[in-house]
Amino acid sequence: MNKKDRKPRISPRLFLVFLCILLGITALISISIGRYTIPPEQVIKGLMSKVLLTTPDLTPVMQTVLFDVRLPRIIAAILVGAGLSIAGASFQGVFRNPLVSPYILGVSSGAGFGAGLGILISASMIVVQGMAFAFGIIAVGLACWLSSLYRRSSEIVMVLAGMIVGAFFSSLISLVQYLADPYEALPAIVFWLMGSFSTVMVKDLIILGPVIIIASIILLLLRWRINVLSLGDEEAEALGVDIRKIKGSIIVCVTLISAASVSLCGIIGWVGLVVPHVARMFVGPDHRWLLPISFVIGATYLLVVDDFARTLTSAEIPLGILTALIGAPFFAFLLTRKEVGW
Amino acid sequence: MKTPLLDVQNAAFSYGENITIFDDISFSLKKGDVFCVLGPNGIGKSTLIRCLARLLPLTSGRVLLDGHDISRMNRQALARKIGFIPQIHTPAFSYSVFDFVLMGRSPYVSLFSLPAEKDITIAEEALSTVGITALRDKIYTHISGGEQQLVLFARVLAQEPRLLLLDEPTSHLDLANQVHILELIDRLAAKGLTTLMTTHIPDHAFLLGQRAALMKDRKFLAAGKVSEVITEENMQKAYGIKVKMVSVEGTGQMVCVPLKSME
Repeated sequence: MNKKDRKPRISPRLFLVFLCILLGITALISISIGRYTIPPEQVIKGLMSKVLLTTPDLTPVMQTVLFDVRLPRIIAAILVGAGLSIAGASFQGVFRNPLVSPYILGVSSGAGFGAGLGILISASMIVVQGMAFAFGIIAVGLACWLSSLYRRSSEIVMVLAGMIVGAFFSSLISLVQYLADPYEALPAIVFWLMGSFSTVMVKDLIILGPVIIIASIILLLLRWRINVLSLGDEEAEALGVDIRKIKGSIIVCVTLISAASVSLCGIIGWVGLVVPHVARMFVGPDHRWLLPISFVIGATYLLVVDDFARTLTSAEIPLGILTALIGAPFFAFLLTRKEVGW
Repeated sequence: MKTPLLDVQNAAFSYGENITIFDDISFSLKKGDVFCVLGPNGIGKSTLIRCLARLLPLTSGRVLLDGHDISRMNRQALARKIGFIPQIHTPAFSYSVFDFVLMGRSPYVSLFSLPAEKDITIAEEALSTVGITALRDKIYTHISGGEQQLVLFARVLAQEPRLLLLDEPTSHLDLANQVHILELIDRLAAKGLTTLMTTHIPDHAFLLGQRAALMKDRKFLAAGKVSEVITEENMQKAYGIKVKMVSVEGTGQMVCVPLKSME
């Protein structure tokens, strides 16, 4: 790519390298801090032993905390933060609207209802997650079907269809909460809806991790095409883009990422909306850079917020509350800055 | 006889059952032709151009490009041959002018890749052909409407089409830039690029001096050489006003002057 491609704010390539290093350091710190502190050099030792397949020179307690509790949680935070951010950046491009989040087509409400229903019938954790995933996808499918009833479905019709489906499933969530046993099921549903990584286990990651990774890679590969799509359907078609196929693929990828995220850790709002704006502030609207930069910023951001969620007070603070508490004022701050590029 | 580049056969388009926009339009264009379509507002010039770009499906009839029915071509192959400039609008994101022009390379960049060095070179050339290299690093949404129109022109050139479809390409331009664009179309026509454009200014058709059509009541009222199409009689039929055709002294160029109604 040409060096003079855009007005030189900062070199996007160098910035990306810097962000990756920052993410590595943040991850290392995140693994070592917590109720049970593991010194960073021990963390490195432990990780190296896993890679080199030697027996780690750590106490059994340290091993359990490191490999069964903290590492899965850190990986989950990275995947969900990165996934939701790249999904949000892609959707904002495709819907030509910087106010769109990955949840705009109703995936979070659908998944929330699926999980709530699972908890209500006291299903096992794996079934609850499966139902969350399935209902997330059903909700988006409904929204797409609804908007396809219009002759030439525009972005605005799709957003409206998403809002309708979202509202429908939100009321079903309320119904499930109303019916739930107030001593056991209800708190579980409420806590789940607020989002948390505290219950993430290795086996969840084995199934849902690859979903997020593969869908993110496809979005990354399509990133220049999102530039063309963001010109609007007519222009994109005139420029040779098969909009049905490409938009469809992007919607599928974003839905897989957000459904997987919600079934992994509940509803975590604002990340997919705010992070792309932060990235745009640094590298401009070109999706060639916006997507990878959003990916890494999102990972780092959610990791840090989760660190606060689990270390700030003796009890865990639900993550969704923190991301909204930070996200909303930050978004307000962004709006006051005139040079935000959209 | 050689097959024409564009062959439109009995094209018709209607919205729904009974709103017919145009009906039974046929014409053909050879390599290097410039064809201006004139007609009152809302008569369906833009609809016609969208049908030719296959952004809208014809209700009946067909459009052949190099002898191939465009409704059977895939989008990407079609975009390598037909370039379309819509009337300008503001995009949602503030891309740089260069990134914007580079998007013209879309039909040549495979699905999962980024534009290559060659695409970047072609986009640079398109900027210099239109003469707007100075705008290269400006933000598209921050430049004037006229400049945006020139950028759109550069983008369609980066697409390297054989047929240009332009929907009022001069509508936002000042006098000098209007002539600049018309001369550019003329220059590209000499190199073999075929252009079909809609316009509201008969003088532009005379400047280009090739072929024109007047659209009225779902048909071409007249089509052929500019001097035979844009006549006082035809203009009155199409627009319902009196015009006077005048030859500009010393140049031989015709201009069309609208007259005040006599009431």
